Amino acid sequence: MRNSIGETKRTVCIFAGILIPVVLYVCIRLIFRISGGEWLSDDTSRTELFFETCILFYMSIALSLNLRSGSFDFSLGALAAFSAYSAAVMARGGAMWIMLAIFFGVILGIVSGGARILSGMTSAVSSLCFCLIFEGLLFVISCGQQVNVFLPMGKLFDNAPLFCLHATGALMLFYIFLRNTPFGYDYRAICASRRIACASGVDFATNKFIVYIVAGALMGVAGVMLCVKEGRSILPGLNFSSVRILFFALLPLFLGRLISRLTGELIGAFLGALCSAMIYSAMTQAGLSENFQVISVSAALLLLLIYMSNERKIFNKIQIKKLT
Amino acid sequence: MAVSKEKNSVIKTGRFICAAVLICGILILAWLRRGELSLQYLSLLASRALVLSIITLGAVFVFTVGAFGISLGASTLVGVVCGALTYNYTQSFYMTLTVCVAVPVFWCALSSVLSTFFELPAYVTAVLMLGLLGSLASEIISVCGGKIITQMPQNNSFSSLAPRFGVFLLFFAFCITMYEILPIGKRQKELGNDRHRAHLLGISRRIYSAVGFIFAGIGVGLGAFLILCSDTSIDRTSVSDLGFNIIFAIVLGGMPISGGRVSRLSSAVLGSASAIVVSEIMRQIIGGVEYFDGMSQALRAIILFILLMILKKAERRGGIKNAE
Repeated sequence: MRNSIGETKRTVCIFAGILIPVVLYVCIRLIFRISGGEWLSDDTSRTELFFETCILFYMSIALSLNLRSGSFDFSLGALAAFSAYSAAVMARGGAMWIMLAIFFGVILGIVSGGARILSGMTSAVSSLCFCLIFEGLLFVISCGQQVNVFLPMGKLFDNAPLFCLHATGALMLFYIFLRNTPFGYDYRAICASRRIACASGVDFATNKFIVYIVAGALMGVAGVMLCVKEGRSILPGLNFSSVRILFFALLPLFLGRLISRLTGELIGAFLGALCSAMIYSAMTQAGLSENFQVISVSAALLLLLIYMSNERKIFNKIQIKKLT
Repeated sequence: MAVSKEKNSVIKTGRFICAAVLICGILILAWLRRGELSLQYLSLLASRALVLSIITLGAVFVFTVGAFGISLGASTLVGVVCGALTYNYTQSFYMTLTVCVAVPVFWCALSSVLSTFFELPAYVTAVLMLGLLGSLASEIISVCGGKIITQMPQNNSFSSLAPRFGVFLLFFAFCITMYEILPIGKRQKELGNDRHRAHLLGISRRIYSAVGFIFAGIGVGLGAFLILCSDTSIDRTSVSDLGFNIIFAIVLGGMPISGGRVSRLSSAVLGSASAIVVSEIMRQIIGGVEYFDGMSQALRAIILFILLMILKKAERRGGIKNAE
C-alpha cells in the first residue's frame, strides 16, 4: 500500500518536472505575443532550439561529472574548441569529424587528467594551466584566424532533429551504463563522500582519470556541435576567453539540478538543458547582444545560486519560527 | 614540527625559483638586446613591471586566503573603462582616480560577499564574475563605438616613471603594514592553510576574506588608473592578458596559487618583474610570427605548470602529505 503511494507520488513529481519547460514555453510565447514579436515560428529556429538543447545537455553533463566529485575543470571549453578544430583538419566527412573529435577529446582528457594526477595539484589549478595551454596551442595551429570548416556533412547533419535524437539517445544510454558499472558505483561513492569512499577501498586516482577521459570525449562531441551551430566556424581566443563556453553551460547545470529533485538526475539534466535553450533562443530572438545575454544570464544565475546555497538556512529559520 | 619543515621546504624552493628566474631572465634579456639596451627601453619595462606589481600586491591578499582571483584582470578592464569615461566627462584627475578605485573595489567586495556570505561554490563564482565583468566592459566599449579615446594629455603627471614608483612605494608600504605588521596577514595565512583550524582559533572567514578582496580591489584600481594615464585608447583587448599575468607573477615569485602559510608579499614584486622579463624574452625570440600571442601564452602556461609542480613536490618532501 505504502509502496503504491510512493509510486503515485513519484509519477506526480515527474509530471510536475516535465510541466516546468511547458510553463516556461507558454510564458515566453505569451511575452512574445504581447510584445508583437515572433518566436519559434519557422523550422530553422525550431531546429536551432533542438541543437542548442543537445549541446547544452552534453556540456552540462561533462561539467557536472567533475563538479559533483568536488572539483572544477576550467579547461573543458578550450578542450572542446581544440579537439573540434584538430578533428576538422583531418576529417573528410561529418561522421569522421565527430569520431576524430571524440578521439582528440579523449587524448586531451588523458593529458590533462594524467598531469593532474601525477602532479598531485588540485584540479582547479592544473586545469587552469591546461586551459591556457590548449587555448595557446589552438591559436598557434590556426594562426589566430577564424577558421571555417568546409566538410561534406552527409546525412548526419542534414536532418538536425534526427541527429539530436541520436545524440540524446546515445548520451542517455551512456548515462545508464555509467550508473550500472563498477566505475559508476565508485564515482557515486566519491561524490557522496570522498573520505569514506577512499577509506572503503575506492581507487580515487583511477576514477578521477576516467572522469577526465569521459568528460573529454563528451566535450569533443559538444565542440563539433558548437562549431556547426556557430556557422561551422571556430574563433580561437586567448586569456580565459574559452571559459565563456563553459559559462553558458552553467545555467542548464544548475537548473537541471533544481529540476532533478522532482524527476531524477537524467531527466532533470535534459529538462534543464531544454529550459536554458529556450531562454537563450528567446533572448537571441528578442535581439539582445551576446554581451547583454551574458550579463542577464549571470544575474539570473547568481540569484538561482544564492537561493540554492542558502535554501536550507531559510527553511530552517521558517521552521524555528513556526515552532516558537 | 612537521608543519614548519613543510613550510620551510616550500619557501626555500620558492626563493630559489624566484631568484633563478629573475637573474637568468635579466641576463638572457641583456644578452638578447646587447648593443641596443637603451634607457628608454628599460624604463618602459620598469613602468610595466610597476603597474603589474601594484595589481599583484593586492591580488596576494586574495590568493593567501585560498580564494581564486581569476576575475581580477576583467575587473581591471572595467575600472579602466569607467575611469576613461569619467575623465572624458569631468576632466579631473581626482575624480578619475576615485572612480578607478571605487569600481573594482565594488566588484571585488561583491565577489567576496557572494563566496563567503552566501556561500556560493568558489570556482563557479570565479567563472561567473569572469564572464560578467568581461561582458560588462565590452558592452560599455561597444556602446561607445568599439573604442574609447581618453582626452588625457600625453605627458601628464603620472605617465613618467618617478610618480609611478611613488605610487608603488606608497601601496607597498600600505600592504607591508597590513600584511606583516598588523595581524591581518597572519590570520589570512591561517585561513588559507586550514579553514577549520582558523575557525577554531576564532578567525572570521567573512571578515578576512572581505578585507583581502577589498585590498585587491584597491590595488586593481590604482593599477587601472596608471594604465589609463599611459594608454589613450582603450578597446576590448587593452588589458586582456592581465588576468593570466597576475597568476604567472605570483607563481614566478615563488608562491603557490593555493595560498596558505607560505604566501609572501615579496613574491608579488619580484614575480612581476620576472613575469615582464620572461614575456619580453619571448617577444625578442619569437616576436615576429603571427601566432606569437598563442605561442607565448602556451609556453608561459607550461612554465607555470612546471613551477607549480615543483612547489607541490617541495611541499610533499617537507613532510605532511596534504589531503586535497
